[in-house]
Amino acid sequence: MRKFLVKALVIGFLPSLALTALSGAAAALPQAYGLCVICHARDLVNYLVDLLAQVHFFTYGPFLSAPGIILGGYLGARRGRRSSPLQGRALDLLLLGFLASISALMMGMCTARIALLIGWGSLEAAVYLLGVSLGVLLWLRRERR
Amino acid sequence: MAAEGEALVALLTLAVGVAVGYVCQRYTVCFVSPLKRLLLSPRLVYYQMRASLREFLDESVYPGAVAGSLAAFLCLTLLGYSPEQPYLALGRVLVGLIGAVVFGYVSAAAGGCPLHMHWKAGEGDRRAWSYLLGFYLGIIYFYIFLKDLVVELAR
Repeated sequence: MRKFLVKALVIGFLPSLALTALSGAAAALPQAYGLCVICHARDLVNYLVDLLAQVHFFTYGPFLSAPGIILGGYLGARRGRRSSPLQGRALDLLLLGFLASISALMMGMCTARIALLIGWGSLEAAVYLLGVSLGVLLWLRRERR
Repeated sequence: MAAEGEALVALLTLAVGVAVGYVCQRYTVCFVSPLKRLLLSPRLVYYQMRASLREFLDESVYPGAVAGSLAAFLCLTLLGYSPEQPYLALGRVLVGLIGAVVFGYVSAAAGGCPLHMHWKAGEGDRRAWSYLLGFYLGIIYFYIFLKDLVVELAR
């Protein structure tokens, strides 16, 4: 049960409470916005573009959770074992990353926020989880052939 | 004052990100792999659940994240926070659903969700870094060329 509780605390509980603290600092944020890789990465990229190019892309502010996750992954890997390396060509992964971010921006969330939003009782997130499952199923069918 | 607020946002999100990244790396967290496992062999997942619910909960991701989020939601409700459910516009849900299917397909093909790729990049996996390069280029591309179209379709 330990792993379950740690995941519940760090992935579900902590980011959702951090949202409340952020709501005091920033303007009204969307629901369950504490952990969303695509939204926070978008906010960071748009914030930097705004800063450098003096244009106005939509952003909630300088969210640093995406670089934080990379740093956390580095610290975890230093302390213990590394997981098995990814398979596939680097160019394919670049293209898949490109498509993943565009499709996630169409949804307005990533799978991590889908899980958080389901905890908040969001019907929209449940529909998107079914959509993601359908996409995974299509990929599995293609792989089986 | 605005700069102080931005610094607070940056620091708080960085701290949360580091904690999440660390735990995800230690417990190999991915939000797409469990869906793959479930859809590939639902019977196996069912037997795992029946054999030991504790072990199943330890190995899975969604129950923990949903339970933690629900607990936070209940705490916030007790503290007086009252979130409003957003109005579900059909166009937005349809566009989002198309995005969800494509997202599921490409994430399964890449071998993990964006969260997985971020902590994997922290491990030093070069392929994960090339995924992230495409990921961040995609965000810029979306905002320059696609955002208006998606907003129009979602109406």
